[in-house]
Amino acid sequence: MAKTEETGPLYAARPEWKDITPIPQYAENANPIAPIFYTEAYKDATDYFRAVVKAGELSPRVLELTESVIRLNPAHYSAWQYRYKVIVAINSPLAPEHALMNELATNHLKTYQVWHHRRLLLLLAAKRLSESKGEDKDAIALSPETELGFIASVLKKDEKNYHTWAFRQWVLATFFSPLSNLSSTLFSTSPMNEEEASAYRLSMLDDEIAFVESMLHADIRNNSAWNHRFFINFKLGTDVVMKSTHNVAEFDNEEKDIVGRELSYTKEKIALAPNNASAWNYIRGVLELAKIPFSSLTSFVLPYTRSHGQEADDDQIIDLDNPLPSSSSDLPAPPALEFLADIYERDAETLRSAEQSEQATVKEKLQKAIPIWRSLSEDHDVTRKKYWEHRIHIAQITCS
Amino acid sequence: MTSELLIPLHVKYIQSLDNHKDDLAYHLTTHLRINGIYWGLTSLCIMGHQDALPREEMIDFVMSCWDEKAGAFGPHPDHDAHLLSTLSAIQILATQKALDRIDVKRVTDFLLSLQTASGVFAGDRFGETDTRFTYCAVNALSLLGQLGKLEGDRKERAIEHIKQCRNFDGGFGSSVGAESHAGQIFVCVAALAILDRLEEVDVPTLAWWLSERQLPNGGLNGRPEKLEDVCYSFWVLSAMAILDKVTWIDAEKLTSFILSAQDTEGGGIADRPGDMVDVFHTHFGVAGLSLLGYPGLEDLDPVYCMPAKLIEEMGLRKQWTALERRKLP
Repeated sequence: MAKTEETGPLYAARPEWKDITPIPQYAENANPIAPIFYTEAYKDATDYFRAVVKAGELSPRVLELTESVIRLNPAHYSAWQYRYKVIVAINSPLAPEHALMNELATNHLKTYQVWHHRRLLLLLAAKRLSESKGEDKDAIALSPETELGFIASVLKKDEKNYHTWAFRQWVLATFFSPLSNLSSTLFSTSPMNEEEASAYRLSMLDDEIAFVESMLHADIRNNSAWNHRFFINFKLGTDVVMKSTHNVAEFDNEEKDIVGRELSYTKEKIALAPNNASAWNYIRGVLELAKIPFSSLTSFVLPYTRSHGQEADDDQIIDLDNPLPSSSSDLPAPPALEFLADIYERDAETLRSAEQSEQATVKEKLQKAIPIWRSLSEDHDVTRKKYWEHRIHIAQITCS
Repeated sequence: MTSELLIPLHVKYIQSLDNHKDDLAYHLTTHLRINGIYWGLTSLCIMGHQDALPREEMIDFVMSCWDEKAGAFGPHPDHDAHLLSTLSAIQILATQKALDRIDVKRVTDFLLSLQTASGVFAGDRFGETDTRFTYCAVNALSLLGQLGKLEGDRKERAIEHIKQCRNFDGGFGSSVGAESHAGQIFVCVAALAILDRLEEVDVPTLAWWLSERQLPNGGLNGRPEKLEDVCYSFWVLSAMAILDKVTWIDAEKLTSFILSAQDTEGGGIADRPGDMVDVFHTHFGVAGLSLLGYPGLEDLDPVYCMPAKLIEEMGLRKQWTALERRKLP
């Protein structure tokens, strides 16, 4: 690993570091396990880092030193921590730090620290802007919008990076939720009144939907993107994100529109790729949240539970609300079979709770679910055979 | 293709881990050192070879990781204290029956000090928050017999945050809104188990989501459309054991998968067949096999990820069900 070119001459060879005595990892005979030199550059940089931490030095040259350590070992937790401490202590400019982070990003994406460092930088920028009443020309180089742009570029190459998506959600929740303590307009170059700020926030959320759609267009099976879609529509801007109590309030017209839109969207995507667990989990989530019975989707689901060539005549009529499976898709789709069986089971449960219906009707519903579960356990989803047998078993107990 | 767990080889592999000080990789992972020791020790215990690593030396190393300023443990001497390393230190000392070496008051103060206003715990004063850290704090407090200090408003806030991290698919993420992920699901479910609040879990939906992790090759993944990985044999399986649903997994296929990820020459287990082994996957592979009832192994407590016998002795056992241990041939 020829890292000396990356990090320059050894610190031991630099005259401006003569005043520091490096501290080796293992003292001379302190440990029964004998130390052996690993790469020269890493040992050199970390020996100087240890010395600097012990001395408590917080200075510009320590920024260079921590950069060396981080370049050699992106996971060196203490180096990241100490670097941030230095930035705060010496009031270091944020714009060059931000540029450096963007440069290092490609090699460091899988470490928690690089994302947490970005979080801290953004909050520090917000603090400096707030304190300078928007006058800090350096801090303004960072912004939630810039971060969203950066995150989008990272996600183009690493579409399911868990930390990246979580960081995106944090940016949105911190600056673009109606419940944020930090204003989305803190970073704007021209002042905005409350109405303009609100409109701006809403436009950002529209952009966010467009962003998620582009990610889903690239890969309809990207579970992280589906999760993010739920977050934007149903978690951001509700009190779930910010406060401590979760109330599923009565849906107003706007929310009903969102629910309707999401159900249509998901059905379309299921039509394109019926064997996509993420889309089915999503549609179930939306129905549960809005307290819409699964049975409302019966006409939609049925064509997905049959093989090609088994379509009933009336399926030929184009129904915009119920898009049909694409001709190239693998049918029947196991998630559709599961869903249909769940419809019957839930209907049975509703009838049972209503108490007026006869045992016969409840049984009838369950008898429709059982063969579906059997076909899953024997044919369409044998990996989960034991699970399907369990569902059958429970239903049979109810029937007897 | 091997059809048995090569215990003697894995024991040798774990014993050799400290002999790599000429490898750069060894030094690049100093921030994980104490975790590595916990993984090594626990898998040795489950394989019935706890004494394969010298006890006194291990205890001395753990104590050398004590950060006097913070009142807790770092991953390595001269590293700052962190929640992850503090938990590993406590787990190691508990397993070595050396908990008396800990300054319980100071560590308890450290743990409690990391709880934030929203209820979730930070890893250290650097401020990164994650449901993993809530689990670490709850587990550590419990092992120290100090869980009672997390009471009233503190306890409710911690649970409330976990609830907010519950997703539409029944799973849990690292933060509010974050994607359901088997690792995060384990920490949330196990934390709720320790706090006696499993009723916050939507069991049918979550247990179904967990059983969906099994792929045709028998291995488990961590979320939909991702690759199988041996470590999910623990994250998924332990959560299912706590929810009493391990029977929903095809145990035979998963067992074969884990065994096929062994290095039959040098020992150790990898994330999937053919890849390089490491102590992390060795530990979680063995843990998974234990929960699946693999013959000749000791029981593992899925809530604490420690030997079940020890957790029982400490009076900490919670409700969970693993597969019955098969008899040795």
